[in-house]
Amino acid sequence: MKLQNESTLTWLDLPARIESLAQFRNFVLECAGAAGLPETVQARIDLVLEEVLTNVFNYSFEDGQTGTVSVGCGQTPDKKSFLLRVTDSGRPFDPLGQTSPDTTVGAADREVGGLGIHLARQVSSDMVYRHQNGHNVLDIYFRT
Amino acid sequence: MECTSHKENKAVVIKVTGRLDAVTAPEFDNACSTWIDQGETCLVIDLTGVEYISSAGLRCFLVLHKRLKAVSGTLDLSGLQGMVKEVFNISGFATLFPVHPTLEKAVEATE
Repeated sequence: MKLQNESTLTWLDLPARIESLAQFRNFVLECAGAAGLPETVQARIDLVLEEVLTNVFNYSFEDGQTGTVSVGCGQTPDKKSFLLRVTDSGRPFDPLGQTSPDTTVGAADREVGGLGIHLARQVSSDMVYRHQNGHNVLDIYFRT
Repeated sequence: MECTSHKENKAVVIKVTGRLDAVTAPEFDNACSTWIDQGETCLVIDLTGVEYISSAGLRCFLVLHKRLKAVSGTLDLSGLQGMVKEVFNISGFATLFPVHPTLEKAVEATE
């Protein structure tokens, strides 16, 4: 799906399933390496990519239905950030609208889950969600 | 991800290397659960060789902790570093379990 301000992004489309994770990872880290990002930032991108994609795999598509996920990445036009954009045509789902888990309670009271997006928000610089033209669009920025 | 494990006195020491992600987490969970299924209640997990962990990996530790607590067992961790340490800190997991700087210290704590 074409959106404005994406002339600097390169894209990869794959089925929305866990088996696609490794290919997406190679694609994004290659792109980050080509942009000259230090390893510490690449490690953060690595984590965020997994958290965001597994979220889409689990929630955007109904059981038994597999759609396509598109991942775009590249430097922003001002070269101050690296942008990771994840889009899918599954059901509208705003990962940023979910409540964050309480990270201060003891193990017995911890919910098993809800952590992924919390981690992604903490290690990225900014995350912006919108639903546009029937697609979930999640932009994740990493300041470089 | 690779796991090797052995008994050291009453503790089961599980050394993990590689990536603990959504793909490998079930495998890690199996490797640890096998010991609990066999009646072991004292697990020491060394993460010195782990270069990456995601929420899927963290979840394994929570599940293990709950299973061990149910049998009055213990779960001790060692060797967190770099991004793995950061992820444990951000998630608050670093305060959920006893975290030791080295495997030796973690095993000592169980004795």
